[in-house]
Amino acid sequence: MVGNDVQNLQKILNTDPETLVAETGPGSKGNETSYFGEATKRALIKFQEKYRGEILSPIGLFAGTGVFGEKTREKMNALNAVPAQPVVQAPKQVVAVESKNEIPEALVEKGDVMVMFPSRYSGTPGTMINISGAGFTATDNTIYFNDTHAVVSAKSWNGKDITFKIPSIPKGFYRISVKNPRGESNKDQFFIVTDGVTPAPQIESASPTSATRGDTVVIKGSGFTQTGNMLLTGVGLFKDVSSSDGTTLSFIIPMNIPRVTTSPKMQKFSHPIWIHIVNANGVSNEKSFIMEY
Amino acid sequence: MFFLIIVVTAFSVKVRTSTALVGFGGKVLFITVCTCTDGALAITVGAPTPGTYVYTPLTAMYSYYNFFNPGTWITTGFYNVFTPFIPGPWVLGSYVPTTLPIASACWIYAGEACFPLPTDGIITNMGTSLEVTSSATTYI
Repeated sequence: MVGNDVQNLQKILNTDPETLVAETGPGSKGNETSYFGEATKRALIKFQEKYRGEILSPIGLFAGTGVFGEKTREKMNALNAVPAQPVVQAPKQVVAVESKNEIPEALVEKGDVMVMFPSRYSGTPGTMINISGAGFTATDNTIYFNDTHAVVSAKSWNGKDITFKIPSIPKGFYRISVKNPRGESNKDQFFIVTDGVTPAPQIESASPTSATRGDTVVIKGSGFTQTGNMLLTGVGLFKDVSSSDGTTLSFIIPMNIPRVTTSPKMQKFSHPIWIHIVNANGVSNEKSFIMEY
Repeated sequence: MFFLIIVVTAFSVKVRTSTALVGFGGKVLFITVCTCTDGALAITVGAPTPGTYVYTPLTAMYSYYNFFNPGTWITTGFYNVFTPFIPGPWVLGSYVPTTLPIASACWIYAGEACFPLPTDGIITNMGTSLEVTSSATTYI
């Protein structure tokens, strides 16, 4: 975390008397700096401990760490987000809104807009999520769900995160992307809008625990759909996998996975491979097996 | 010869002075298995913060544990570099900058000895995306 990021962080910490970076001098309100030192770390720890239930407890911590991680960022975004106005409109109407807020092109710093990943991949309308990425502008990001729905005027306090509520759109699989005066992002990330009633897939086990090329991996669990399950694994993406009983899925580890050349120092190489299941009802938890190369 | 390579390498990479955590993120381009450092992998990522960062067994991983995908790897030594160069998932995290290559957390075997792989630093924590797009790794 460097430069403007630190300065923005200090500004946010200084909005709460309980988390002031400093009362006077460098780091105090109006004198925020780009240096992440002990004072900033102390204030960040106070912030984390103030919101312990949302930042620390979910990851098994009690005391603040002073590390600006994902949970801290989410909480800070949620506190500092201008009340979300998840306006859901057809793309043509979105364009009209954008043109109203148009920034003269000469004043816009062009750069790559990137969507890395959302904080979660499924949820009901109203779910608060964070998109991590780069190139977001302060006020005028439009978040697209496919080309059919959009959230306009989404704000980003640091250019790297946007926190917003999932709008009231129909259940389904949506590609998410962000467009702003800097450009348009990649479209390789997704979000599944669920109804909150049908249970999401759950993985209970994956066997065998250790496998190699050509082996069949069997996944046991619940919430698998008869067709249309997508298996996201470290050995490949398996689309439209069927489950006749809703509790079993399987895939074969492809033979064409490159081999790792060993050395006298490393005779054998293995690594955990994680599995997630995606279907119309959401995204599962993860399970892993050891891949022997 | 070994000494010479170390010296040349030492002066050919950028030297950092900071010990603070630094953020990084981008698409995984390829992964190098550190054949002389048990459990370590060097992850080379593209924009917005391109570089090579070392994953170790001490790296705290967050969802979705997805960086190790086929199509994004594997190199295992200078003598057998295999880089299909198919961008993999997105990764985002923090790392401690490496000051000198001799302090690299990734050493690889090359011919007769182990050599430090110049990297930007050691990853302390990292999260990844879920990928549903890479046709190179899709099986229907």
